[in-house]
Amino acid sequence: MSEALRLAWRRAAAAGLILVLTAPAALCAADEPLAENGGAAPWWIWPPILLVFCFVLGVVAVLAGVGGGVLYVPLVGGFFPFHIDFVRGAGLMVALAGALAAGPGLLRRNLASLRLALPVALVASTCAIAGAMLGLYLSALDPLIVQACLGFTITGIGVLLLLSKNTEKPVVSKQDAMSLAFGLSGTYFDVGMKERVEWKTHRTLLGLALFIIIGLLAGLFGLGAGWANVPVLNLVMGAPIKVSVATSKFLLSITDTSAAWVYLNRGCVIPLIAVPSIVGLMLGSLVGVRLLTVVKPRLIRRMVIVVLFFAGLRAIDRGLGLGLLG
Amino acid sequence: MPEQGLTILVVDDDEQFLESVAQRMRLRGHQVSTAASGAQALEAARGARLDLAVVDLRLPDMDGLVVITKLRELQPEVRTILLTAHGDDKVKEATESLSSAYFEKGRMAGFWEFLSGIPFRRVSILLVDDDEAFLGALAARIQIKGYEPLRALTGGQAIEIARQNRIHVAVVDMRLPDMDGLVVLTKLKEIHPDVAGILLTGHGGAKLKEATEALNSAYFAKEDMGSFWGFIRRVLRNLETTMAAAGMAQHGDVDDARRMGDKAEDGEEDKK
Repeated sequence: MSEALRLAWRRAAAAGLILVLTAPAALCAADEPLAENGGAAPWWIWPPILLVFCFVLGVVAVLAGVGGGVLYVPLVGGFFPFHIDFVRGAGLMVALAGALAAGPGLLRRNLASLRLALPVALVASTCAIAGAMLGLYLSALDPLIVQACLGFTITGIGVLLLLSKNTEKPVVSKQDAMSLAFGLSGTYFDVGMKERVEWKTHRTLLGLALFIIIGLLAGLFGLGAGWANVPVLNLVMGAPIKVSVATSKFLLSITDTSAAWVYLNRGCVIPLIAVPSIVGLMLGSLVGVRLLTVVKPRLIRRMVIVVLFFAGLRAIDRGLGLGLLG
Repeated sequence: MPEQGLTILVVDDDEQFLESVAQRMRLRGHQVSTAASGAQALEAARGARLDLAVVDLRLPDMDGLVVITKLRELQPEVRTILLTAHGDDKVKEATESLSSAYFEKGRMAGFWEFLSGIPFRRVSILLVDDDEAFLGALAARIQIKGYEPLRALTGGQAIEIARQNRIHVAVVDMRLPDMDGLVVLTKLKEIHPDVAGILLTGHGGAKLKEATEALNSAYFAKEDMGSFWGFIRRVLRNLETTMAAAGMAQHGDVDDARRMGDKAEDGEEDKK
């Protein structure tokens, strides 16, 4: 590819990112009069805006290596005039759609491990149901509680994304008894290195215990949980990074399904919000993959982390009623 | 389905034993007929093609080994097993010299194991096409599904092969250098009346289709198969790969996602 074209792509990507960065601010301004005037902007304006917003979000999520569901809830929840329950419901559907779309390809390549996913999914999805019920209960008490908790979680995710250093192939010297019993081991073909990689896990009990918390958080806030799944699978349980990443994505399709039921059942999934979000994010991630070859993701990742911090702090600010960030 | 039960004849004068063995074989998906004597067995063998005959050593009218020998005369390809309650090494040797298996009734476990070791009936497929590349590709795809296809480049070759081998399915190209595909199908049906014929053609038409169906054969146009389904499959596969790549990227593995994304883009060239 010629240098000029490369430059053009880079500009396009930068422009897209700026749109994401500025869109919340612009929409934020639009949302204040809406709240005051009781519907100055017609209702049908929101699905198209959401579609465009989610398209950009989808592109950025792929380029930055951050789950679409993780970006969706804080950004849409923070800057769109929707009730937090609806945003969480749609967020779960968004994360679920992405996971279900990615699942077959990952399983076919033997990167996502069913054996590793199922015990973990059992724990995580049970807790996701509990988390979803708890979340709806809390927001029935006062939505601001959820806002504040979400804020802390998002800020935490930002820190995690900033600090976590995953290991390509962790050394597992001894498979523990539980891992042996569940058969948590496998093999995949590394296309880049052209070699067969065998792997096994350890510290299974600790890993499963951590998934209790991850499941709770996923259900509570309607976040995809890739940011937490991957470090636990990789750093704690010792699965290679590729297996962790693929299994984590596949896991969401189970975990988030359980939580999504709770939200669906309570009427928290509004098609007018969920459909444009899902379509936008899916199309966005399709384009994002095409852009991956021409864009340096490191910078975008940093910028997204900054946006996450901003969204997280804003949610804390709102939840605690400090009024420091508008 | 590549597998089809075996056609088995069980010969024993002990009615109870006969029925219980036959029942067990039927449960395993085989087609089983029974005979209580050697004469009945030979009669059955004249009426139908057998894959396997299980024969008791002591029959009221003749010796089991004799039955096996005569069955072989009728159907040289039949596999045979001798079952006996009163065996000894001599009988065993005699049986094995007939290249027949030998089991004692007291040790039926071995017999069942042997039976499940026999591959289910091979469906043999004859492919006839003058385009060698197409023939090779078709044969490779059929092999993947577990069949052993026979190949012929001309109608003459096809008929020659059909005379020497039992053919269950024939896939014939319409235009062959020496004769018309329909003629080949007709001749194959003369040799093996129950052969299932499939006519493939690049130059089809309603009339040809009718003619093929008159021969009780199926008809496919070549171009419909490749292009349309290939296109759909390619699009779906690319989409699947791209979404998998997006999934990898979103959970932090950008390098692999990039590699997979590249492949999805190149996919179309690969398949051409």
